[in-house]
Amino acid sequence: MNRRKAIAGMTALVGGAFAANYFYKNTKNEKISSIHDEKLLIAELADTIIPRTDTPGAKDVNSEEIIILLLDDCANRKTQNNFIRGLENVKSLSHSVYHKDFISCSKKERESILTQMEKDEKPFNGIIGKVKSKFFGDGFIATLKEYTANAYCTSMKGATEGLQYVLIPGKRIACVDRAKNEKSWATQ
Amino acid sequence: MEETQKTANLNTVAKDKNSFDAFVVGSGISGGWAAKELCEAGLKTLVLERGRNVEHVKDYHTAFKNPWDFTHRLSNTQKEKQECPIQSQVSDEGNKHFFVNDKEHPYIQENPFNWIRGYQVGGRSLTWGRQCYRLSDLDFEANLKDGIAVDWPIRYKDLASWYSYVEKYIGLSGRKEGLSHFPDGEFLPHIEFNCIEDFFAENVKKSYKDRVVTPSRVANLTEAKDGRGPCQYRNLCSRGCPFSAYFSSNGVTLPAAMVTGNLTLVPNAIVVEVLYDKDKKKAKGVRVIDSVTKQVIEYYSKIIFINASTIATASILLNSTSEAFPNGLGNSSGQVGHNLMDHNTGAGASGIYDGFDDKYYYGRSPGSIHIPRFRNVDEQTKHKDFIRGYGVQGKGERLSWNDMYAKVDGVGESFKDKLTQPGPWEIWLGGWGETLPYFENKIVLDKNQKDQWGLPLVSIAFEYQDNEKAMRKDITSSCKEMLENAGFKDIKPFDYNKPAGSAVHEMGTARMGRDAKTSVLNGNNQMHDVKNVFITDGSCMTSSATQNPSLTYMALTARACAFAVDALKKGEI
Repeated sequence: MNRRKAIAGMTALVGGAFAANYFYKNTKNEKISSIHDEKLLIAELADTIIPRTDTPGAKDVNSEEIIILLLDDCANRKTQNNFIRGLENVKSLSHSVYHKDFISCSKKERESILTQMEKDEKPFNGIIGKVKSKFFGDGFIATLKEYTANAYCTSMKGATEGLQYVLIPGKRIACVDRAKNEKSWATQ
Repeated sequence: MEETQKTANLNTVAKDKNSFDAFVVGSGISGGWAAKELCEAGLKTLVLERGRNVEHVKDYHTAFKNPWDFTHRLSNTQKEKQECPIQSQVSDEGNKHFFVNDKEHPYIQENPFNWIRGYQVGGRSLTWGRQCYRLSDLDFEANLKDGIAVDWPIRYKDLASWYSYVEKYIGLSGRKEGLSHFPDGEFLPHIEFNCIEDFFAENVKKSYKDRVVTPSRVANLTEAKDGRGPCQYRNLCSRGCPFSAYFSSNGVTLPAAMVTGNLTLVPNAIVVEVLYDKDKKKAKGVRVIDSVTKQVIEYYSKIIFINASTIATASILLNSTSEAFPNGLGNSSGQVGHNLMDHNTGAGASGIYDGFDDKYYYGRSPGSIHIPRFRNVDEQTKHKDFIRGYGVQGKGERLSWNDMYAKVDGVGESFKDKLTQPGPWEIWLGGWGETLPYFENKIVLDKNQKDQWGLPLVSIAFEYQDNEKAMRKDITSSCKEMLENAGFKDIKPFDYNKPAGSAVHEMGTARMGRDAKTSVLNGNNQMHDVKNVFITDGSCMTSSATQNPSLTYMALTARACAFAVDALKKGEI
């Protein structure tokens, strides 16, 4: 059995258990403070999503600090709970499939885990996803990607090196030729 | 009055020290204009503002902040969403200090109604959308033709020169289109379309004889003017502009009033009621509570302009009861607080365009695109399901990271690559629909529930009716159709079903009209019942039209001030 299939099987299992326990679990407020102990794991997850290339990566801008702050202060309880359980899923998946901690996994292994988890989360997106997110909170991968992108793109290095940023443009040129691979503006 | 004399904490400053030629209640967009016009006419004018002082530039403490300078990177916290469930829908970490705290300033919603407020010097002129459009006779004649509510007591010719006067002063960018139902004004150069907006405009022109896509007419200076501006294309207007490049009371009208030496500006002054002299049949002053010390003070003047904003103005009138006006000052018609309107927004469509990948833009435009009303303009454009119409506003841009993170699957380098490069071009369009004046849509005062100053809470009842609902359907389908015809894909029609109030265009609670029996104000914005009281904020609107209304408030204010000064000089009031 190849690894991908193995992960798919595992996530389906976790997913099933997840659904069955959902209503019970979601009435319980999981301890959001526990995510502070997961800073290392969150940093690695963020860096898997936005790795360092010729520009800084998520870890270079301390994305984990902002991700944790946003989870603490800005996420609703359902989203927080989903996130905490998502972290547990990451841990159990990396152990059952690769027999090691996520942090010890290779880049490829890490990417496989997150990609598969995203696929399992995806069917809920779209129109049903909107309803789902209202009742069940945002999914773990959706939140992780959103907060990682937010933390990275609003950081000084992310905005000025990973993207383009200028506080005072001073003028507007409505239409310019775009250089090949020119980065996106950090603010609109 | 007798009662107040006995109030222990009544300020006992000699009456003449508290006497002025004119008051202006409120320092927002229309109050600022009243202050300027009255001061420039030589009247000793007192501006009473219920909120704190906001000094131009000095108090715009977030204006130069970068995204990373904000603790939550501009996101609202759960705590803020709970404490400020209404204001947090439109504010962020960068401008929330210009919106009230809902917990500190409660109101009652009989039906959901978003009452967006900015209690500070300058009011909502600091955070407004800056779009300015003239009304036309299509609007001024509408109620009469449809037999709805009452007729406007004025026509376009009465206001045209005042529109010009205001536009020349505030600095308004825009492009002339030569449409009679959407009159041109005095414009600075318009903000240019980017390539997708250009492309869309061309295609709409090809597909529709009755429609034009024009650059939104925004009060942003595309050229330097009177020591202000020009616009730096930061698109951070709602934090306050350190370059004075958009029009606000703080940056323009209040400083103009101040230099005359005739202005006294008192912040933290909540107007409790207007005091009425039944012998002289005039208002003689106002009673004010200092919001900080809770001290009660009375001020006296010859004329009073009430520009507290639509809902607050009506609540002041309703709270000003006397033997002569048991139902509120100037309310013999029973119309005060009624006929509340807002523009019907939140419906539209968005679409993606494949192409122009080699094009981009520099600078962040504070403007957008505007499609003037095209329904029920004439016989050919009559719609079977509703009367009146809507304007369409929108914007074309390339998607950026804050859309792309949810659109790009996967993680790692390929995700990062797509996240940090400009996404496809997108245009979104939304309708700003006319709302009819219904007597049942109203504000009243709840005598049982009080705020921290002991004033009765405002209670708002508002429901859209069949005409608005039918119009929303058409807004969504026409926006979708325009995008389809222009070759867009992934078109997503939307109707967010937002509560009324969301356009922040409250209007109508002290309407103008020809007859004192059915309206509160006459054609000069003068109270039918109390000749030395003038109201020129949104409450004066007899119908809502489709246009963003601030320009009309400013023009009506300047016109009413000229009338009031003249009448005062002639001893008529």
